[in-house]
Amino acid sequence: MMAFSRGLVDSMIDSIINLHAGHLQISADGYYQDPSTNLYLTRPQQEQAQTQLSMLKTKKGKTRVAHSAPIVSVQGMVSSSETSLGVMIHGVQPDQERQVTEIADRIVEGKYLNSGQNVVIGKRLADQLKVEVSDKIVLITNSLNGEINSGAFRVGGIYRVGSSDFEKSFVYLTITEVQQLAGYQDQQITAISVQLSNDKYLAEVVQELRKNLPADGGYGTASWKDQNPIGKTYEESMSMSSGIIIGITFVAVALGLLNIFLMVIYERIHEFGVMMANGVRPSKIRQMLVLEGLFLGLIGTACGTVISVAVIGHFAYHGLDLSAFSEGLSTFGVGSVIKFTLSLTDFLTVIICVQGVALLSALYPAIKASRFKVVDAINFE
Amino acid sequence: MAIVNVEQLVKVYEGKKMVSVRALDGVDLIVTAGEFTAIAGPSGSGKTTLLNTIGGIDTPTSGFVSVDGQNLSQLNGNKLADFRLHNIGFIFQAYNLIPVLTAAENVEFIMLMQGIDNVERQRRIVEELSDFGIDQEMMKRRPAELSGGQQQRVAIARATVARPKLILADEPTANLDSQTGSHLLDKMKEMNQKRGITFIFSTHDPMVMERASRLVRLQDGKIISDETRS
Repeated sequence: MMAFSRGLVDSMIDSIINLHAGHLQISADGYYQDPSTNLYLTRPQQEQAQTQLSMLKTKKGKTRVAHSAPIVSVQGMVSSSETSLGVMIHGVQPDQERQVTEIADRIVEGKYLNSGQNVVIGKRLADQLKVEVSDKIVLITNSLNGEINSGAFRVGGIYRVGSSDFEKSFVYLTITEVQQLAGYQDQQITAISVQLSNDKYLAEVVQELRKNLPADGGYGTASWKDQNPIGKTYEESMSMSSGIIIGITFVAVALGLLNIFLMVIYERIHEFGVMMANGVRPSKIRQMLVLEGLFLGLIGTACGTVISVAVIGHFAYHGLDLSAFSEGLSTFGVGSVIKFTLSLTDFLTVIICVQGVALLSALYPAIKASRFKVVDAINFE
Repeated sequence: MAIVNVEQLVKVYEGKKMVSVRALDGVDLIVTAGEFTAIAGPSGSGKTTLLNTIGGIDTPTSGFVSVDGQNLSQLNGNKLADFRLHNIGFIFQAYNLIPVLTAAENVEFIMLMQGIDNVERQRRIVEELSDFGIDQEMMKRRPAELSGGQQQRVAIARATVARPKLILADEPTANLDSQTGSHLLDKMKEMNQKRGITFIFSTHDPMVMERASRLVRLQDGKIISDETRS
C-alpha cells in the first residue's frame, strides 16, 4: 500500500517536474507569484544565475544541478477558426529544454520545435481548437509595452502527457518567437528552469540560490512546491493519509495478533500451571511467551517481506494499469500506469513496526499467563 | 525433624452467589522427614486442598505452612517457584505431562531449570526412567503415545529426578489398574526408604493406605484421626 501510495505521489511529482519547468526556476523577484506581471531577467542577471548554478553543480563529488534552460513564459490566447482559449505560452531553447522537461519525448503527431514559425500544442487543446499538424492558429498576448500582439503559427507538433489540464494550457514555441511576440529583447527571459539530479537536493539548492541570488538583487527562486502549491499539498496530504491508513492497518494487525496470542494462552493454561507447579518461574513463562511473539513476528515479517518484494518488484517494473481511472488521475497530473516505489528506509520502518506490534501484542497475554494461580491453571479445562 | 509444619490451616473457597466452601477448617499437621504418609478421606474432605497448600500452589485463607523450615507465605511468585523446583515434587492423578515434549524431555526440563549439566541430566534420565520400566525407545515417545501406566511412571520419574525432599502425590493410582498401581507404589516406597524422600499422598486407594507408615483421615476439612504404623 505504501509502495502504491509513494508511486502515485512520485508519478504526480515527476509529472510536475518533468513536464512543467524542472525542479526549480530562477526568475525575477515577484514573477512566480504573479506571472502576469512583465518581469524578466536581464543578461547580467542570467549570467550571475548561471555562475551560481555552476558553483552548485556538484558537492562532495555528487552532481546536484543536472541541467538548466532559459524560458520566456507569457499568458495569452490561442485562436483557431473554431474557438479561442486562454493558454500559457512557453518560449524555449529546444535543445536545452529537452534536458529539463519531457515535452520533446511526448510528441504524438508531427515534430518537436525546430526553427520556423511552428508551435507545439497539447492533444486536448488541438481537439478543442479542432486543428491538426500543419493547421494555422493565432497566438495573442500582451507585450511588455502594453500593446496586444498577435502572430500566426502552424501547428508543428502535438504532444500528449496524460493530463488534460496540462494539454489544454501550455503551448510551446522557440524562445525567439515568443520574445518577438511579447516584445522582449533577445537578452530578456522570464526564468531559468533547472533540473536537479535528485529531488532530495531541492531544499539545499533552493536555500543556497536564495542566499546567493537574493530578492534585493532582483531574483526570485521558486521550487516546484512553491509554484505548484496544490501539488505540494497533495504530496503532504497523501503522506498523511497514507500514514493514517498504515496506522489503522497496524492497529488491526495488533488486535488480530492479540486475539491469536490470547487463544494460544487459553489453550495452554493447564500446561503453564503444570510448569509452574514444577518450579518454572512466572517470569520465565512471561519471557517464553514474549519470545514466541517475537519469533512469530520474525516469521511473519520474513514471509511478508518475500511476498511484498515480489509484488512491489513486479509493479515497480511493469506498473499498475489504472486506465479505467485515467480521466480522474489526469486531473492530478498522474499517468494511468502507476509504478510502485518504496525506499529502503520505508521498508525497514515497516519491518521494525511489525516486529514492535508483534512484541506488544504478545506482552499483555504473557503478563496475564504469568499471573495465573497455579492451582487454577492446573485445574483449567 | 519436621519437614512439613501446618498450623491452624484454613482454606475457604468463595463460590458463586456468595456461597463459600470451607475446604480446610483449622488443620494442624506435622510431617517428619522420611515419612510415607497417606491422607485419606471421602471426596470433598479437603485432601487435595491440603496437599496443594503444602506444596505452595494454592494459598491458604489463614494459618501457617512451612516446608523444610521455610514459611511459604514469605515467598513471592518467583521465589516460591524456585523453592518448589529444588524441594518439592508433584505427582498428579491425571499425570499432567507436557504433551509436546517426549518422555525424556518431560523428565529433563526440571533438571534444566535446576542448572544441572547435560552429562548428569542424560545419566539421570536414563537411570530414573529405566528404574520405572521405561526403555530407550519409549523415552522418545510423546505422552499421547504412552499408556496411562507408562505416563504415570514418567510423571513419577519427573518428580523424583530432581531429588526433592518432599513429594506430594494427589491420588496417583486413581487412573491405574491395580497391578500397575501396586508396582508403582512399591517403587515409591523403595525411593522413600533408599533416598529418604518424604511422601505425602492424598488417596482413597487401600493399596496406598496399606503401605503408608502414617494414616491421617480428613473429614469436612478437619483431621479426625492420625495413626502411625510401624
